[in-house]
Amino acid sequence: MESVIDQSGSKKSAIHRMDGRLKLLGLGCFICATAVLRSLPALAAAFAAAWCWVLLARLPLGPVLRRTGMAALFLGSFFLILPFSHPLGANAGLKQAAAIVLKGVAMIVTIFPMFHTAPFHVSIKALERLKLSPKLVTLSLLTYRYAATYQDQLRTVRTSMTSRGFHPGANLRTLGILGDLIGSLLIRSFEQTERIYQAMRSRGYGESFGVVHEFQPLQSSDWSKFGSMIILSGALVGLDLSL
Amino acid sequence: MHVSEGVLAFPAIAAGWTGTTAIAVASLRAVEGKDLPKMAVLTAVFFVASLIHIPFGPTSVHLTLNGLVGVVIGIGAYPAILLGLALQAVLFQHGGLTVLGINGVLMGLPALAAYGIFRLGDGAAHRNKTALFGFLAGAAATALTGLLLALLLTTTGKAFLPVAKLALFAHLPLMVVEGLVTAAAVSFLARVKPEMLPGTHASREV
Repeated sequence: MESVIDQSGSKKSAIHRMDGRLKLLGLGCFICATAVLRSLPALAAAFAAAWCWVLLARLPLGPVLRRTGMAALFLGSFFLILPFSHPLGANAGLKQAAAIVLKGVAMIVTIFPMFHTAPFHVSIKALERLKLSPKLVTLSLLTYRYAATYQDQLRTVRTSMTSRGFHPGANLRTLGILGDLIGSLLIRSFEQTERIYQAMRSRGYGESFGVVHEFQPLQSSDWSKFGSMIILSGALVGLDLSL
Repeated sequence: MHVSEGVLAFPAIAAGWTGTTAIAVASLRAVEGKDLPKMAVLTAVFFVASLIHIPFGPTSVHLTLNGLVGVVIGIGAYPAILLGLALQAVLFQHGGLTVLGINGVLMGLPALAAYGIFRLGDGAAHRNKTALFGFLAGAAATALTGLLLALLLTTTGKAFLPVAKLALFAHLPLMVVEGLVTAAAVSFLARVKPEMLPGTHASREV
């Protein structure tokens, strides 16, 4: 799981090189602007712009398309419902379904250039600088770290369950076994926490968690990229209002 | 189940963020810094457990476990669920960033309700009673999530009425599934490590 973000973070592109704080702010602004759009032309423009961020970030297109495809498939199901349920008729329903797909996909695609162009801890550090609660910062860093560990553990346990002949199905036995599996994962992790906490205290953990990452002073190139993200967001809202 | 990006109008998104910020701030205030590592570990387990898929007829469902999160983490369940949702959005593109606020409410409030329901059975000496309250907590959390989601969809527009009905209907089998898994997990914990559950005899003695 760690690899998803951290591998794509090693590439160098205009978005990778951008300061983390301004990148999150600028693309966050773009996502919020997309959320308020209503007209189809403006949404189509936002959809195109979102893919431009992905191309600019030179992210591997395969995984991006696969993940976005899943979301698009789900959103696409509105095409089967809204034309029949819209009070203003099938045409209005089709338009609304198209708006939902364009908007949803544009916003989901933007997550890739936003968070998959830097290691996870750098993005969290940037959020900390943008005044995210220190407790949430600590919680995010630790959770991300342990999620990777437990995913491996879960894989091990499932392999051993399969090798003992366990086949999940829609029956009571499966649900009971899964309950026990989750219970044992919880207990195992709970017993680790005490040791983890003591180890952290002995290494100087107070009540917040320091990330060793210092942001470089902001360059003019950071500001110009940020500026273009903001101008584009503003232009989209302007286009939407004028239609 | 959660709302996907693109469906909601801006007022609903803004209301979701207002609600989530208020509850998360209050809930984080109740959490002490020294409890964060434990909370993080439990959040990670729940995040991973929510990736388990169970075959169900022609499709498969995945567990959300928000009832169990509420029972085990207590008041801190709200930020834990919010973080779980944020990680799902960032890593797997499930849900989304602007709908994080409203999804926090949809999943987090029922978790807090589940905690309340489980506490009603405080001191359940009998194992079956613990399992029963575990089932109620897990099932009620899912039912409440379904109700809130349906309510939200009906306020989004008349066109969404069939979607709301579908969501409500889909939560009925999920309710049973979540209830049973929560009951099994809770009675497992009561047998093996009762101090992890709030209000049991052992946790009061410790």
